[in-house]
Amino acid sequence: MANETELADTAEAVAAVEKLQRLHPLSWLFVLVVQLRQFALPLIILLFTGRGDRYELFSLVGVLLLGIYSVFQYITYRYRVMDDELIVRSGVFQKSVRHIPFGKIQNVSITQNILQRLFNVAEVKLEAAGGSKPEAHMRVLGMRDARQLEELIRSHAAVIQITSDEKVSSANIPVSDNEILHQLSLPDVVKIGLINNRGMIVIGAAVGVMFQSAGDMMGKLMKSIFNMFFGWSGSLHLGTVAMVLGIIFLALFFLVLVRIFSVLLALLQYYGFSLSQLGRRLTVQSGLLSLVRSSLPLRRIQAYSLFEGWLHRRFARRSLKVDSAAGMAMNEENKSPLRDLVPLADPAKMDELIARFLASDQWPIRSWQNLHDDAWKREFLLPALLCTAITIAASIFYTYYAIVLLAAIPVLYLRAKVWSAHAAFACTEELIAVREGWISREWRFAEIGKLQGLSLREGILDRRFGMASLYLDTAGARPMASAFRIPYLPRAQADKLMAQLSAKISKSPLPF
Amino acid sequence: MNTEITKEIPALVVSDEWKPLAASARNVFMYVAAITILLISLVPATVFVLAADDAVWWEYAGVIALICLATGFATLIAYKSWRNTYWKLDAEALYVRRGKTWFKQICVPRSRVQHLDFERGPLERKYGLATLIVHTAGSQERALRQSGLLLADAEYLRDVLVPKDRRDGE
Repeated sequence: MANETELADTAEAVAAVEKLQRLHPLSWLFVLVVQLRQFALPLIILLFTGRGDRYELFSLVGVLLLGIYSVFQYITYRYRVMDDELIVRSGVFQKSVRHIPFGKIQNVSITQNILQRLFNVAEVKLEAAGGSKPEAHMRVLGMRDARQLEELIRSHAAVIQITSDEKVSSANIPVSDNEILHQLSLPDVVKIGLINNRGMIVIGAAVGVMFQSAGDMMGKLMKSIFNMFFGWSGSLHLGTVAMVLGIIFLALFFLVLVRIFSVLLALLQYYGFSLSQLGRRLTVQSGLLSLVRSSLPLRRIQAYSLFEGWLHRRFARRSLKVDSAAGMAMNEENKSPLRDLVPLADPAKMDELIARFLASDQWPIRSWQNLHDDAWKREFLLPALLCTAITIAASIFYTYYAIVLLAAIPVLYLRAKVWSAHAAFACTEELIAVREGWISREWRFAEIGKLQGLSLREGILDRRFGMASLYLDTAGARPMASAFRIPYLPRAQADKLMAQLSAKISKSPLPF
Repeated sequence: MNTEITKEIPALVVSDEWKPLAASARNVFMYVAAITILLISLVPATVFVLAADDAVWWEYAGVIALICLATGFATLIAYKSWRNTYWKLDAEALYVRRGKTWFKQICVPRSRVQHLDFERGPLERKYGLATLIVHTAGSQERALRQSGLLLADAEYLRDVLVPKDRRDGE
């Protein structure tokens, strides 16, 4: 049974929450808002193009039905906090009662969008290990209730960890204060915006949606813009050179606009970013209008990905992303911020933080080993062959000027050389790491105990050089991310490394 | 009494040797490949027959020849993949190696196995074979999927990799 003394601080909280609780009275409003958002854009476009009264009526009826349904959802959702579990009763037609033990909850995330901030309420999501859907999703609770719930679960989890793990109870855990590890200043947030250029993605998506839903209107708009611009420049009698200059100027203007937009987006997401640690749990909090706050136990981190792009280098910063096993909750509104654990930090601070997360002296790694001597040839060969093939095909079928594509070959050669100079791997006592890149640099690493499987691959080209690649499987990797692997090792070394890792993995028990 | 099962002695032992797939699996692989290609080629073939009103006899012959070629090729690949697949269960992990030109060796550490599934198609059931699917906590849907194992081997692997007390609902 849980230690009563340790829960002394939260005894009040426990007493307050023990009866069956309803969600906040305004929950129906927020559920409605979420439903509306999905229909908002088509609805707006429908209203503007005004296809007829019948359709408008249908949409209004739809909104009404959604409203009624969300009210029912709010009324039927009840929860209750017990000694070591959370009981949730929900369902309009199909009633369900769920018992969620506190030990199972790995991540508590509290989020607020602008509207929710106004009313001082928040959404609470409770996530369990390895699942992609949250165990419980409460929309919305009053902010005080949400904090109480979070505190309750955290203290329960901390107690469970202490009493069940012998090694931990003898170590010195700082349970008293929340220790702030890292904060982002305003210049840092601006740099993030300039680097990640999310504005481009948002604008691209918006343009895509507009073209899809109102195609000919967009076409007319584009045509009129074109005519306006070229008509104006034509009337100035400036000729081809000026027109080219004009296009370049317009492109630059557009790029600057996109960057400014990206900075604004970064401000929205990362303003006031703070990473703190309580015991063995990390908490991340950020957001300008919408506040997002999540926590993650350190041992749930599966793999790390450290990145330094060209712009990162100009600003002397790096960024760290992690894969965690606490569910990849890709939901309608926001991604879990725990992927972007340290969005920006200077290299020294970053190394310090990583050493802290790993709780070992294995980082930064000093024993990097080279890949196969001919790795640059292998990295150069395939793209070069492809480039040659495309050039030949283009010259035959289109124009002889396609020969100019061959200029890419020296660039590919340079790329292969720089890439293989930087590429390396390291296998220390606890870590397996690989670094790659030519203009951008990337370090991927993980604790060996967190590996779930290995596979060695050798293609035709690899066989020619006597190489093989070793693929490392970890939990919680994004499906779209590049594979975590050590490329272009000499075959014998790859075999040896595989055997070494397999032996180490079998000595360490299942992390969960 | 199905004598084909007793012809082959299952491995049933943890060792350092690489074991080939079941001998009866060879025919199964080849049948499956041939049938799959034939079924797939039914679609373009019917389209061709319906669309070509004035096709000459040698065009028909060409299509049939193409289908035969594809079937033969697929069967050859299936045979090669059966020939070049080996597996091994030792103290640390389950290993499977596949292929010669495109080589892949998968290592599933025993301490990482979460659960095991069997899949047995009609042909597999007739010949006493099974497809083994191993799940870990890794990011892919499954760590390993291997057909062509003797049922006894597959069951032995399941007993060794997921001991009875870890299994739920069996």
